[in-house]
Amino acid sequence: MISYLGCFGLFMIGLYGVMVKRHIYKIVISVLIMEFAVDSFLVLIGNRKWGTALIVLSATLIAAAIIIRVQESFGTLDADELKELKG
Amino acid sequence: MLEGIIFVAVICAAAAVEAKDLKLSTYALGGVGACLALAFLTFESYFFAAFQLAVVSAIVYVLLLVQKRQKIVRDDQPRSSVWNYLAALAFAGFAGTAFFPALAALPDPLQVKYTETLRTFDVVGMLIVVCVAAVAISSLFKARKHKDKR
Repeated sequence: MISYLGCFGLFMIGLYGVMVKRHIYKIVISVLIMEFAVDSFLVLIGNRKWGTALIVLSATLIAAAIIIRVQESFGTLDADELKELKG
Repeated sequence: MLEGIIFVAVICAAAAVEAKDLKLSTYALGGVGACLALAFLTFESYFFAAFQLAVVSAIVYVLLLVQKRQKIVRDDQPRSSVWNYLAALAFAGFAGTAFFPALAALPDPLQVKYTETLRTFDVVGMLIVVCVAAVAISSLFKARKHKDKR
């Protein structure tokens, strides 16, 4: 039971990062933590599938592409600043 | 053993979210992934453990590559406003209310019954949501009053 609560805690740390951090790189890391939390939960309930690891890798590649494009287009990775920009 | 691994993963995750140095943050994320690989090892699935480790290494490599290319070194930006904390709390409440009944619904391997403890967690989650909604509504009224005064 403690392990399941640990996974839930891991997910909550990721959620905290997504909500509180302003740097997009940090937000990406927080999302990855949430994905790892879900993965470890699936491992714990005995539903071991390797598709989950590949999904995390794909998500990382997409996020990396977004980080690069955002910084090249807007010159900043501050989520709050990006919100204020008008096209 | 498994509890210890998850505990280390939680510490690594906290370090990854809170570290100012982004390189350290990335390595801490790698630590979280490595803990998952260790969890596979405790189930004696060596192939999955190796696969997980390979995937985690690839993730860390890609993130470090992005850092190097875009010259992102530190996260010195202040935290978001208090509204984001409240939103996080509300999400936590919702997740809590959804998570525990879902645990109870899962089949055999987990063997968790919807006990009184889980029911309490469910109620606490609901209470958090109600409290956050109350705070949000009261602050909205305050803001409107302030606007009227001006």
